[in-house]
Amino acid sequence: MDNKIDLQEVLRSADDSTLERIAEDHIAADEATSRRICEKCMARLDLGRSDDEGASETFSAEPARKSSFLRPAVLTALGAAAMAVFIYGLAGMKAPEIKQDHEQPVFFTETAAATEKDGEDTSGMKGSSPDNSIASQKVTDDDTTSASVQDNTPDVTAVNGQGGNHSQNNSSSAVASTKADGSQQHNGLTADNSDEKNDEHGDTASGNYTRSDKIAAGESTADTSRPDIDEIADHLVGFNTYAELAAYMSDEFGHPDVIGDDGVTLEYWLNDDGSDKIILETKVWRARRKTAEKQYYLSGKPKNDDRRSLITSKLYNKGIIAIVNSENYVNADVAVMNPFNSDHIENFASWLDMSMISSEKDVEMIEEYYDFECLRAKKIFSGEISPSSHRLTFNEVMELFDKCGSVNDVLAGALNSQHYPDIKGKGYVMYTLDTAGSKYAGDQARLEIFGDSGNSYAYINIVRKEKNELERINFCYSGKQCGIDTGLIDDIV
Amino acid sequence: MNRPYFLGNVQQLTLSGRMCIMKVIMRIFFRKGGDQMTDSEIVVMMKSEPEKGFRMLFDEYHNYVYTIVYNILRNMADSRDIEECVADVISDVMMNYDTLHGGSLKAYIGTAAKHKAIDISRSISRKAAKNIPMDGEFVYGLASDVNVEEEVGNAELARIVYSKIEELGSPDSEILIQKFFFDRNSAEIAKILKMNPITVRSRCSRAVKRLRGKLAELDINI
Repeated sequence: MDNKIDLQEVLRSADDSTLERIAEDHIAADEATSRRICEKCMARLDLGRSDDEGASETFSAEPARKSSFLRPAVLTALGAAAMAVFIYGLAGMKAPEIKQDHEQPVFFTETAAATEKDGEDTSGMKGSSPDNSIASQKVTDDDTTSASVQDNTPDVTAVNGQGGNHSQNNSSSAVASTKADGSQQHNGLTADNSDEKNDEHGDTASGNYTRSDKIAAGESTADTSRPDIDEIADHLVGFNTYAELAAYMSDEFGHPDVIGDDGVTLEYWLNDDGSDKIILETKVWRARRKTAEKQYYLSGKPKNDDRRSLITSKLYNKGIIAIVNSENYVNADVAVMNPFNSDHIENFASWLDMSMISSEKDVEMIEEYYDFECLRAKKIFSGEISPSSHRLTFNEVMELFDKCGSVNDVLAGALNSQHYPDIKGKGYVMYTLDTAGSKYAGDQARLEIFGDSGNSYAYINIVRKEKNELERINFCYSGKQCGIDTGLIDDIV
Repeated sequence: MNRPYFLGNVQQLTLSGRMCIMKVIMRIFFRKGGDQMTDSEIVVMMKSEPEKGFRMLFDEYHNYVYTIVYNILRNMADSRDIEECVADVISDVMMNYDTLHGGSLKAYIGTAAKHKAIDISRSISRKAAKNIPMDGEFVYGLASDVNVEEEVGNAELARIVYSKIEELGSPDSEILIQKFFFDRNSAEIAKILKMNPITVRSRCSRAVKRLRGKLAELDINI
């Protein structure tokens, strides 16, 4: 065919089968649109909702109302039908025990016991703490940013208070012999189960214990390796289920460092003091990583096995990229929709947390994923600059916003203060800001400057840790059609 | 007759329907991450627990409905009309689909979406006082003088082009579809894909270049 075809026109001529493929493989309506449509449907069908989020796991049980006098009859019929099914199933079919609970329908039974915990976890899963210099673990004592990081515990405590406080308790107690066996996790490691198991070995039930206790009891040796997040992230891309992760952790690292008092959570510490750990939530088949600054759910095998999806998965599980929702709130509870595997994680991940970068391999993956340079990180790893070299502060940027008349002036000022931005792209730079001493101390902020020949933009994005909200401070430049000076960016070498 | 759709036949539910419900429950307990609900599971839920059934139906099919509706109404309706149409379709399915004898749920939804969108396109055209053919199936997408053979040819071309787009992999394929099918600009695409708008633009131009190369091998020039 010699004539050129119009790509747009061709796709619009798609038949039903192609339309079906497009619908299956691609996002038609964005999240906000989907939510609006869902709300319209629910209003028309007169269905109630427990909260405004589309991912709510519980619904208020209000049947569609055709006329007011039908409602009592309908409710009675629903209850009778549910009871009949349950009784018949138990009596005749020896079905698995199912809780007869309208508030927590059968569909979500496996998470019913932890629904509230999920809810609290969701609210407690706040955005990241203020960014540190990139290799914070390499930083010496004089790094001023590290002090503010250590103080950011309120949200962590809020989640801890739900049942994880015990995990931080290093008091000695009897060593439990229960191992994190994958298959048993799959069926739910209840307190009763753990008691039965421990009775076989003559030990006590779940309890808190430390690595040193295990070593003293002969359950572990001093040279038993600790889990490494790089290695775990590499394995996670191959795990279809939570059970596979649990089995891997058990096989590779033996006993967990801590078993929560309720027997539901298992902790594998990535360092000696437990400030960085993997927590297995056995009842809801979910795992999360918790550091001193943040926590997030781990995700298993991505939906697609292309390179980009694999990179996304690894970067996400390392905490380098965070999930955002349609309003750009960090750490959106994607896990609520699918406890272990997030089918579309590669479509959600967005917020970069440069403080979680720990190796050059991370830098390579980020650069491949985003097609830009992690300039500051590379300079640190190459030794050209120190990890503690000056980082642009929030207050400095606000001063630039006040005194500069153009985006290019802001850019020049930023480069003068911190020559190597965290990210450099084509017509784009990003700095993660030091917020210590500012009104946003404790929050994570970044300066983004980008544009093309016609327009230029500069703004600060702030993730408010306490509220898990995004704020933005725009730089108001005078006049439109003011292009960015890409030469300033290109000259950063 | 507007019978309460969620009542159904309780007797039948407890006899044969319980098998379906138990199957659903077992699949839920032991389902691997990523499995999608089948139509039969959705239908069971629509009948036994309408709210859950609606959510499952919505999650499974709203993207599909939106795609069909958008493809018909793209040139004549604004986003609000499209959203209303999609909501109408899904609500109609919830209220009118016969969960006992309704046949393929997906086929029903697809047909309902197409017909509803055509109805809306007609009413919009009537308002604009345009002259439309009697057969609404050809209102959208085709000029009045296009014959069936050409229509089939265009559809086949679209199929080929789409296959090549898919070979580009994510996110390039997603960017191209968002831009050339859903008519979104870089900022909107960036928001959906959680990418930088500039990255979207640069990836888009590279993706088009790669697509051009792939299609050139088939003597198709874009």
